[in-house]
Amino acid sequence: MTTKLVVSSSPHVHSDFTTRRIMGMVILSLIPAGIIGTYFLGLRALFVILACIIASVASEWAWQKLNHRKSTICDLSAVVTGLLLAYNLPPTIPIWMAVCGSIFAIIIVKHFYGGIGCNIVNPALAARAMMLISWPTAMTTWSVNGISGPTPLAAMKAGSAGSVSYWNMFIGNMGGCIGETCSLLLILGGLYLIWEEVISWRIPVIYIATTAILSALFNHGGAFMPCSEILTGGLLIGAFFMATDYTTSPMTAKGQYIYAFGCGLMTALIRTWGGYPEGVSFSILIMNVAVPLIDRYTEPRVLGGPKSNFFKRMGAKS
Amino acid sequence: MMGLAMRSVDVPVVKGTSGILTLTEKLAYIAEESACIRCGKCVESCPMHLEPTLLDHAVRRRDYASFEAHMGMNCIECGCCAYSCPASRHLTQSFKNGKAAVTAERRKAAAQAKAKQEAK
Ligand code: SF4
Ligand code: SF4
Repeated sequence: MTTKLVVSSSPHVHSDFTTRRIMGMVILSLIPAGIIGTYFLGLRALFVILACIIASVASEWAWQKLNHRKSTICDLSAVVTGLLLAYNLPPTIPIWMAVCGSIFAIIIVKHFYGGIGCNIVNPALAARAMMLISWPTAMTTWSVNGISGPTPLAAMKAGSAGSVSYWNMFIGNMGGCIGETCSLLLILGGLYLIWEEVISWRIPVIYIATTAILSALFNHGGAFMPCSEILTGGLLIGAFFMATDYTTSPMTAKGQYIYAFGCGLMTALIRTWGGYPEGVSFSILIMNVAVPLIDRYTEPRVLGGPKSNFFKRMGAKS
Repeated sequence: MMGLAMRSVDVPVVKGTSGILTLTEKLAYIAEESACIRCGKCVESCPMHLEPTLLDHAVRRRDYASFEAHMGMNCIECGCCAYSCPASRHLTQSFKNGKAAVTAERRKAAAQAKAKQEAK
């Protein structure tokens, strides 16, 4: 029998902000970009998105069933992972590769490390990096309106600048991954999340600003195009939706500044001197791994209390 | 949010009573805990600048040394962290246990020290 009167310890009330609600809002803010991606890149994009989502949710369900764990598919985090992964794939990717990527993201990156909240790197990005290394051709063949060509950023790197106008970049009429092309809707989605206090402004703003400024500094010889640096190469989706992933970003404000700056620095470095034209995924992954260290270093001081002693704490049991 | 739950309506109202809250069933609902998603909302909300999620992990491991090292004894049990946690973790409740355990340990250590001194 369940009693109605529970005499428990305070607090007795709870905000209605739940994990599921947060994930729901993230999905909501991502949907418009997916629709416009489908519109510009063709119906196939929609199939890739659906395949990724279904594969992610199914593999999470199966894994937890096999391990006799409580199923967490209802918190929608697997849907977010699937969606983000799909948004980082070209629309021409074979469906089976997309499915493999989703399974890798959920089982290996997320559940091998202990499930939601315990993964050390962002599952969608790690899966994308895995796919980029395993199937480089399939992952970097773009086509827009039936014409295949490199993304504007790749073209810029190769030296033929400006085949796509800023306006087309802004609304998403260019080659690229399914969800990363339409800057306008990505920015709106990100602003919605900031407005709803799901994410804070710190990581996206500092990340984007650092990338733009540093690319300007590094690139001083060539023609500098800050708008194309920002509008292409998945920087917006990375800054608003991937770098802000709770589990793999620092918890304190100070830590978030450092983390976002690090992401920006890495992106600018990889874009300027690296082998890949697009450095966003790798830079976020690298900074993900640094997060525990940042978190430890930026632990807040309590009551002006013992000045945070980094080295002492490194030795102490945490 | 710091009030005590009353077992029955026979509890008298005394000078120190600053208010009586009656919560609806929906408000008083005790949500099931889920895994911490490291969102940092507890860290942001804590007026004492603690890191509730770390403290909670420490208490769950019964690692009271770490609880103290992260300044858990400074928790004022205000409940802001537990209120804002999207994973509905029972943070404040866990710190009450943690603080009680640390106090008990300290008392035991003090008693032992005293006994040792008296034996001399
Ligand atoms: S209950 Fe303690 S840890 Fe939680 S917010 Fe209040 S002071 Fe901070
Ligand atoms: S608010 Fe809850 S879910 Fe978020 S970091 Fe704190 S304990 Fe974890």
